[in-house]
Amino acid sequence: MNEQPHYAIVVDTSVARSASETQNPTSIHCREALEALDQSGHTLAMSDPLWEEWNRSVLDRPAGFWDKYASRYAMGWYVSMQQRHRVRWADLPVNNALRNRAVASASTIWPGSHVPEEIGKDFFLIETAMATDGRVISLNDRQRRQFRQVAQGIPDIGAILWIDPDREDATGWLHAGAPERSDLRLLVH
Amino acid sequence: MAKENERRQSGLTGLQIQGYKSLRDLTDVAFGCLTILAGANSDGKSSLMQPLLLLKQTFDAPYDPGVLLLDGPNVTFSDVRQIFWRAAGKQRASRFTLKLQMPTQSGEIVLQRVKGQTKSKPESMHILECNWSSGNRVLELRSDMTPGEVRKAASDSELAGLPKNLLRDRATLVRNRAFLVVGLEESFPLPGPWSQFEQLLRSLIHVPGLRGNPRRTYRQTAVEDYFPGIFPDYVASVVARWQQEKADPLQSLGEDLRRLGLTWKVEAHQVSATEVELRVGRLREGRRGGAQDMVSIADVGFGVSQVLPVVVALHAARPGQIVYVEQPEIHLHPRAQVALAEILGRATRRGVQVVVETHSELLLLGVQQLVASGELEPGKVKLHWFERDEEGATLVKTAELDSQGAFGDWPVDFSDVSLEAMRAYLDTVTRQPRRA
Repeated sequence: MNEQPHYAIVVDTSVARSASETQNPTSIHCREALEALDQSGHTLAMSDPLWEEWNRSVLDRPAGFWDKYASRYAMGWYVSMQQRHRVRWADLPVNNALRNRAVASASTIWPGSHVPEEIGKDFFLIETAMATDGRVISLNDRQRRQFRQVAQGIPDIGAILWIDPDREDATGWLHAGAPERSDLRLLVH
Repeated sequence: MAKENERRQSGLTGLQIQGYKSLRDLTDVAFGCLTILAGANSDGKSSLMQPLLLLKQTFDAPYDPGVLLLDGPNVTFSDVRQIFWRAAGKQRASRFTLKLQMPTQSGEIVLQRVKGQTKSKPESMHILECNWSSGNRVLELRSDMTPGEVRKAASDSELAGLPKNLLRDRATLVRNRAFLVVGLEESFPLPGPWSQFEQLLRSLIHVPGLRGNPRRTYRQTAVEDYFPGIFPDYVASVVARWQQEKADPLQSLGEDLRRLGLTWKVEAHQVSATEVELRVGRLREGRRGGAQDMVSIADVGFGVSQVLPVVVALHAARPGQIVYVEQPEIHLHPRAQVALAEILGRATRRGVQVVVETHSELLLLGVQQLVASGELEPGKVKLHWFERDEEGATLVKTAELDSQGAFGDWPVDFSDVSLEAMRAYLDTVTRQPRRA
């Protein structure tokens, strides 16, 4: 473990799920990112809704030999982190004010679409990041774009750093101590 | 449960060793109700327990084998030099020190190599020091003490509650196998401070990693509180005894074997005055008419014959007795390895002191689950990870579980190895062209 700063980092289910799959090269990038997160001494940021999502999308995969086997990687990685006190559970705010503002903002940007509903449903990702160290690893580029637009009107969430392990060098960033980087912020100045 | 969890630890609380095999430096290892020794092969896990086994076989021997019985049922050496630390190209250690700690007393013995003068007189060893303490009471004996020094040490220690003047006039140094003790006029050792250590060591139940092939019949043995030698030799007779006495452990044994997914019943048949046969239920679960569906233990998978000594030992042991199991997981299906943790946990709650040497990630996870669910107090579990440095000397890293069963920075690599293997496999498949 190096001497870099260590942060609690949200790993979106898209990354955990892909790490257990065989999609080239995305799955390899995701496994590399999880391994880098561990090796560089960071912790996994977790919250109740994120854990439910992990269970639903990653750990509780449909039956079938391949799926059953593949889900073991994400589960094994999680257990290994938990055994070593490397999971930081976040208490999410009971107050939905910020979430409501984000949904309202999304309704203005994408009137009549499903996006505001999606923003509200997935806002726990932002809440988990804000309750920990404001760092997210996710493959969901569409979601990142949506949160970026919402962040224009809600600067509170703009400081969150969001990295895509398939498009960006998440492994290098993690090994470098997951530093503040303006291009990764949801609200780019 | 709470009452069982509150049971105070007796038996061995700590062990310090220096100069023995790969244990070059003073290695201090705490023992709990459940002590887990883990690490890669040949990193010194067995070496930690071997001095205890050497002492056990020395005190178990029906004759006086000298300071240590080197070639016995528990540990085997052919030369005194084999037990002393040595790095490549360097001089072998000349001493090895062993310190045993019990809740209220500690004892230390220092053994020294004595070089052989001729080829026909091989190297030997002698006891250099034997130190005992309990609170303010101390008895330090050295092999080079003058008779006067021995008498003074004995009378100062208020040995065996004997009158001071008797000790001052008649105490003398006596070797009781591996211990230096005080006797009266060289005749017999006084019941002294080392007797509890001797009792602890002789009562140690040893279930070795190699437990032998299943046999059609087993030799009839005595079934007492002590089990000299290795425990697998006693299993058939212990089961036969429980059967005769309709003892509770027999039913618990069946339940445990069913939990392990192996069989539902074990029974012993006296074949002759000297032989006992072990029969097990052919099916995993009891069925109607299943009592007739029993086969020889030699006719079922290895899992039963290999785990049976472990489970029988855990039930046969009394509170405070040490059960040392090497590789309890051998020949067991992964599900059974997890279930085995529960059986170990139940024995520790009964007050048995369990020491396990393992390579099983699943057994460890099973123990963590017991702790996380509150079935086992975290403070009662001691985890020791064994590694070796460049010179080949053992390094021990210790961890304690928290209430969630996590062990922090303990360098256990079991799950890393699983993950690496999974990752290598998934990466390979990911890079391969898709087949129809």
